[in-house]
Amino acid sequence: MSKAIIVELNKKHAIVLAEGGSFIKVPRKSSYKTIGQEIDASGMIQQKLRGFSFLNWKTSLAAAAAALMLFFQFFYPFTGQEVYASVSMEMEPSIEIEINKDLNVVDIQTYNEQGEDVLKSIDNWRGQPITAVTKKIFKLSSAKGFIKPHQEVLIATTITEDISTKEETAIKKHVSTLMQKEAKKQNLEMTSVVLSKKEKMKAAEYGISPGQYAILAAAKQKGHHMTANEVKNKSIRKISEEVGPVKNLFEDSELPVSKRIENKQSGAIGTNEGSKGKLSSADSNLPAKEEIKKPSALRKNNLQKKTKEETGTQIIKKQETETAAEKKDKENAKVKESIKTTASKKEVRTEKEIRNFEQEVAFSPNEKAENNEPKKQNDKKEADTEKKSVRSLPIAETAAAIEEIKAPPSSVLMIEITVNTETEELILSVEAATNVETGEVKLFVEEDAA
Amino acid sequence: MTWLKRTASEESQVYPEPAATPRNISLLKHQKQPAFTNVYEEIQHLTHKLLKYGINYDLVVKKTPSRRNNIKLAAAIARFIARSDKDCEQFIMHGLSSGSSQTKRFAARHKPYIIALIIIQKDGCQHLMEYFPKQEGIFS
Repeated sequence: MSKAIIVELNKKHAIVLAEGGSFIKVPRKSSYKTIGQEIDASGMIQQKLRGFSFLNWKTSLAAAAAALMLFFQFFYPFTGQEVYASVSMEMEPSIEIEINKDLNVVDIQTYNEQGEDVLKSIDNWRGQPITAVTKKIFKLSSAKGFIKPHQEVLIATTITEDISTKEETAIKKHVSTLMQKEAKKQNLEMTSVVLSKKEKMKAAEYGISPGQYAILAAAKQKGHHMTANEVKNKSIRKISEEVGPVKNLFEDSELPVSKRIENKQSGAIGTNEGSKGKLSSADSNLPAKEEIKKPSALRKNNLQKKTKEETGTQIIKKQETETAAEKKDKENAKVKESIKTTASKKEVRTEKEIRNFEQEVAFSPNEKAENNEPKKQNDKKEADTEKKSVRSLPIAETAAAIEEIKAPPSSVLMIEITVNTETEELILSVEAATNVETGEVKLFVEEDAA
Repeated sequence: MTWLKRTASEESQVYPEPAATPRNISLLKHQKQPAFTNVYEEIQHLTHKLLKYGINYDLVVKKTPSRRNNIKLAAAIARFIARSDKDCEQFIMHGLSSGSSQTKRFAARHKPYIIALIIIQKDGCQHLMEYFPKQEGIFS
């Protein structure tokens, strides 16, 4: 029998010093009367003191956690992967592919029977790259007779995660090029739409795929009366029979749905991101010269720097200034005023001195060294403000071409670079060079017309 | 001159007998004498001393080692510290000064329990000491 001695007594519990040297807190019993009372503590000590055992709560908890981890490792190998984007394919089968950052398929959802039929016949799609899976889908759906040549296909891409613009553009570009290739192979008419996260959520609320939601929204904007159920139950072919070609729904209309739409007909490429919400098709691609004229409206802005990176078109603007003629006139007027004021301050100058001073201000030092021509010739140059030096060059020679431009030192060039994606040529158009120090503008006259 | 002689009673009155001197005992025997007569006094003393260091029994219960080996180790540490006042102060203020890092960590973890043991050891609470494991070996 082991004994213990009561050290502290409270209403509900007692603290005892048990044999073996351990202080134990035990519930109070009626037999515990005073401090220093000796009690039997055989049960207490066994409860409190124990040797090393493998079955204590810490080890059991760790074992349980390890078991859980192993379970998830084997049965849910892709639970840790985030869905970065989803690609909704609207043809006869309606399929939505969810992909991760590495463009591998995380999940596939189907929105009709045909989609389910196609998905059943694809094996081991999880974790495979999207290229392989889309190839299989297109092959199977053509084999099963769901798609035929010249049939319309709508591809709706949604970026679900908040990722950097670089990653976003990379994913969009990859998906669009992939789909173009596949559409080219199958000889399909492909329209691709980019949807926002909110629009995807709305589509989920309606119980339709993002592609179907895009069609619904576009049809509503065009004035066609359609409901979500109708879009859900009908295939894209039937909708195009009723409403007209689907690609026409997205043409020339400002959709809240689409940020950018690339309309392709069997591999024809054309993009127009600068339109911001406006839609454009490959058929309406402008020739190179017409494209150059477009940004001329932007010249009205004074000293603004804008850079836009787009997949098809690149516009680089370093600085925009007022037209040179206006600026020179203003400067001359200022100079005259300053001369007048100095004269009024009893600084007498001869007429010759004033003319010389005017000429000095009117031309930059470099320009003055090059051109010692009279003022009339400069006025002729000012009249040719609309002319630009335009060149069409292969992409590789761009840097060399920019270096060739003879601008005065310490000046900012305003260059517009447009890419013709079909011919892979750059169209450089150099408008003016603004001297940073003096603020003067040197105009460039047309060198080679494209 | 007999009349000048004092009787024994008279003698005792003039020169009283010296009081009984205390019993001569050795210093070691004196040190081993129990300071407390019963367990209750020891417990009261322990409680009072622990409170002085801001320790109550709840904390001691919490910091009591759960394994027998660890209790033995704590008792050995307490015995070692209780030998000198300097070591006690050092331990209470800063922790264990000598020993391996593992022992230091152990002493820091179970400090209130070890302090209770030191008090029991140092102040000679004989009744309470019976409840602790006995010294084993020469250096333990």
